[in-house]
Amino acid sequence: MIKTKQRPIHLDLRRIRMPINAITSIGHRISGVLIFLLMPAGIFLLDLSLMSPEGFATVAAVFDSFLGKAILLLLMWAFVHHLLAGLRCISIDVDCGVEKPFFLKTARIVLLAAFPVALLLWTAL
Amino acid sequence: MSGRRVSGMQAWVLQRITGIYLALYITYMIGFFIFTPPTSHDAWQLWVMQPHVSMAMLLFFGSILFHAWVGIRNILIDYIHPFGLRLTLLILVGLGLAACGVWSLEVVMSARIA
Repeated sequence: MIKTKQRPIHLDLRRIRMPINAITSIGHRISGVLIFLLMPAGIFLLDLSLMSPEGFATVAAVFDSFLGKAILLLLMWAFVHHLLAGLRCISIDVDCGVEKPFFLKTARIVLLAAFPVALLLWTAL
Repeated sequence: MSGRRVSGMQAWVLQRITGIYLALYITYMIGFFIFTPPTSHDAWQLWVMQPHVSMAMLLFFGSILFHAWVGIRNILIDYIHPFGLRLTLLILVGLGLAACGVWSLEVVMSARIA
């Protein structure tokens, strides 16, 4: 029996080379976890806003506060990054943008575009 | 083909279908809050209680919960290797998501009845 070659398997983030597409990919995961963690707060605020006029006013005040606005900006980045990275994933699934120069270019576009788009939407809110 | 590979395929398809719905719904809702933000509790409640709006909202919660399950499961499987810890975290995440599902159903349905 041929002995299987020992391949270097490690998910130690300090030892892995991080090209731009890896950073975009990690950002996809981080933004997803962030949205996941904020979900209970979102349901709570939705509940409060629908419960009574006082609750609605409280939720409006939360979104007007500094902390509320800061979290909303973070959430907006998470959504935009996650959406763009997700669309890139789907386009790669259908064999569009798999080749290297284009592959790295779309990774860079997703990573860099998420910030201004999120800021723009957040400002418009 | 083993059952495991089929289940991976289902997760892959589920992640894309829910992802596309979430993209459309959230983008629409951001537009809604930018262009026609509800200014009073009454206006907000009346908008939400419309059948198509609450239905779309329930679909949103269903989609985001399944989407989160597939995504968080992938992350836990990648980074958490001790079997007991991985299983415990998976169970906690699953229960948490199920609770969020029941809670959101309750919130949306009580808005419809009110």
